[in-house]
Amino acid sequence: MSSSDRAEVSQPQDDAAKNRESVVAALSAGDVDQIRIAARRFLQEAASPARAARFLRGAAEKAAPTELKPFRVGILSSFTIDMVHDPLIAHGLTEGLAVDIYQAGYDQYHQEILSPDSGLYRYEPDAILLAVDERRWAPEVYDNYLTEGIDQHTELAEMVVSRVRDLITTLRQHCNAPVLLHALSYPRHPSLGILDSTSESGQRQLIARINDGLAELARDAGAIYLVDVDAIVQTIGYASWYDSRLDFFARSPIARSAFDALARYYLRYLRALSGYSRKCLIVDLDNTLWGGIVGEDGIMGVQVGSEYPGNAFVAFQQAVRALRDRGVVLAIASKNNPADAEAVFTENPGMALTLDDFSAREIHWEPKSLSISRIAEKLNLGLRHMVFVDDNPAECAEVEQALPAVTVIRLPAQPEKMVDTLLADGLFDALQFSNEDARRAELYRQRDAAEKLRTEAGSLEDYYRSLEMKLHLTNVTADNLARASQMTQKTTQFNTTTRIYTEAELDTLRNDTQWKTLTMRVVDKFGDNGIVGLMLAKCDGDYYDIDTMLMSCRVINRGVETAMLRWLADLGRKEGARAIGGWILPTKRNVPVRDLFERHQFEIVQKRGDDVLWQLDLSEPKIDLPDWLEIQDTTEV
Amino acid sequence: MEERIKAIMADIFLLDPSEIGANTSMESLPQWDSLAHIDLIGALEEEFDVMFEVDDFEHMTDFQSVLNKLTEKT
Repeated sequence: MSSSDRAEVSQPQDDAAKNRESVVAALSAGDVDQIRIAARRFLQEAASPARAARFLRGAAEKAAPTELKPFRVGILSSFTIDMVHDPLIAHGLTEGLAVDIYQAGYDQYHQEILSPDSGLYRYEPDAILLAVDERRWAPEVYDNYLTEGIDQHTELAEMVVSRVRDLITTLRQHCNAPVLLHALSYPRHPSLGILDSTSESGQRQLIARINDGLAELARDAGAIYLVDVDAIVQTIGYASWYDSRLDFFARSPIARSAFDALARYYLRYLRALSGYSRKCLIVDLDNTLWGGIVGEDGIMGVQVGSEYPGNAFVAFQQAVRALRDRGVVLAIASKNNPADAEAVFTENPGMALTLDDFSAREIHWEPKSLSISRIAEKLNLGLRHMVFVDDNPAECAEVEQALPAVTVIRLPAQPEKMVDTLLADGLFDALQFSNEDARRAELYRQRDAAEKLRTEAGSLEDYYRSLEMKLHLTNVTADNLARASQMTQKTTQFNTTTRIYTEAELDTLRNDTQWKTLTMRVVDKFGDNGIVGLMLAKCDGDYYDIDTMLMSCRVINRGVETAMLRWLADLGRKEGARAIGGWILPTKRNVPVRDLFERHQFEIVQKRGDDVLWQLDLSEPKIDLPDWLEIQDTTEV
Repeated sequence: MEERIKAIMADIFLLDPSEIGANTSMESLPQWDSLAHIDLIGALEEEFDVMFEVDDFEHMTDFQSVLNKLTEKT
């Protein structure tokens, strides 16, 4: 081997050593964003993901940085799954999570769920993985299918779903943690062979029916999510997923090399449950939305259209558009002449995205980190919820260095690989999809228009009046449960206590007479903002405590919060309460809510560190309701 | 090859490579349990780019037999 050969061979090893050093340094410094960046790079570039994961786990345990967010996972399974621990802990670091695991004994899932005093319940997990092999839920569906299963579809589907339902019902009596439930997989060799997919009596039909039943059960029970294991198999291939040797030798059917993919799939749930789902995608333009450089190739000369590579850029645009339709806010950060760049959108017929799809545009020659800071400010979103994609390594490095909280994705040079690069980690995955999500881009545009009006209007009061706001007050109901829970997870600014409630918890609470629940929908001249306010108050004798009060940033600074406080004050007075009150628990981001109670003549009655308890004596005059708010109250108490 | 095997075993059994030797065996090392065993098999397969059969796993229960099996396969 010549010396130049050796230099080439040692290059990746040098990089690996450097990556390893940065991750160890970040862990001992305890800087969350640096840990996230270093762990992600180390895992992405590692020759062996399994060894890299083991190393990361060891390093994290040794340094034990307290800055990470703890996340406790209870794992119940019917097969050997312990090898997912290392990669799950390692990938958790990429989201700043300190994943801790309770592994129930092999095939102990029944005992763990049925015993009120089980290790699982004592562990108090933040999430439970219920990884049960499909043959355990439904042997009739897989083995002896032609003699026992084929003509029993209705009965079998019912029976299998009720087996799962029974366990979940028991589990819910002891624990409210979200459950990730493995869905049933299709058999690799269906009993009817190639006829199975066409036949009404095929196993595929039956399994689909059972999975539908499980999905329904998951929706009804709340905070249960089906894990589509076949989606992982589709991505990595069956040969990489299943290891028959280990299945029969050690009841460990998942191949060693597949645990990385499994852990990354689980992380998509953990990320969403921790409130780290990304909400905003910022894209570069040249060589990202189209091939080539508009300043050099011209408005019609850039590659975007029906032939390669233009078609790959169109596919990327369609993927971006699908994210927008799902509720992700889009923005542009490009170094370009704005007139040229905008002309591609309006004049080039190959484009799939329009300028209107983007809620903010920063097209100029200033640094991209500056553009992104401005976008964050304009859209009122945290950097931690933003993803920036660019093909240029220098731009990526500049943003990563200046704004480490932003997730930076460097696109591959081959445009046909860009969609996978963007979507592989499921960064934008959320566990709810509401009407508000589908309309978010539109909502942000409405807000822009409202902001504009505000600068045009004279006094603040004139501005409020000009909005022609109508407020609809209702309780938390089955219809708005998902949105209410989502708001407790997503609202970080105008939120007094930032307490998070699952749908299941809210469902319990709304049926509890001690609790008063309120949601607020705001309609203005620019459109329907949807449900943007939530209040949960608990009666403690003659004192009503505001446990949670929050409002979407879409309606901050419009005086509408007064209507919510007024509602509770009126209710309290009617029911003979002495006072209402609530804590402000300060976080880094909830600055806008800090003066909420003060502005409404509440008084400080207690302080605990930075936390302040405010109260309003109900014998005092009522809270004045601004006359520009039209209120429709359909609450029942 | 011996050094690479030691490095892998050290990784899995949480030992220093110098502590691995001819007398390292499933019998003598409590952390070499059935779970660690399949982890070891997988790590060796990855490192040396070989495939073992179940019959092989069952006999690779100490350092020497692992070394022999790998010599035979590579």
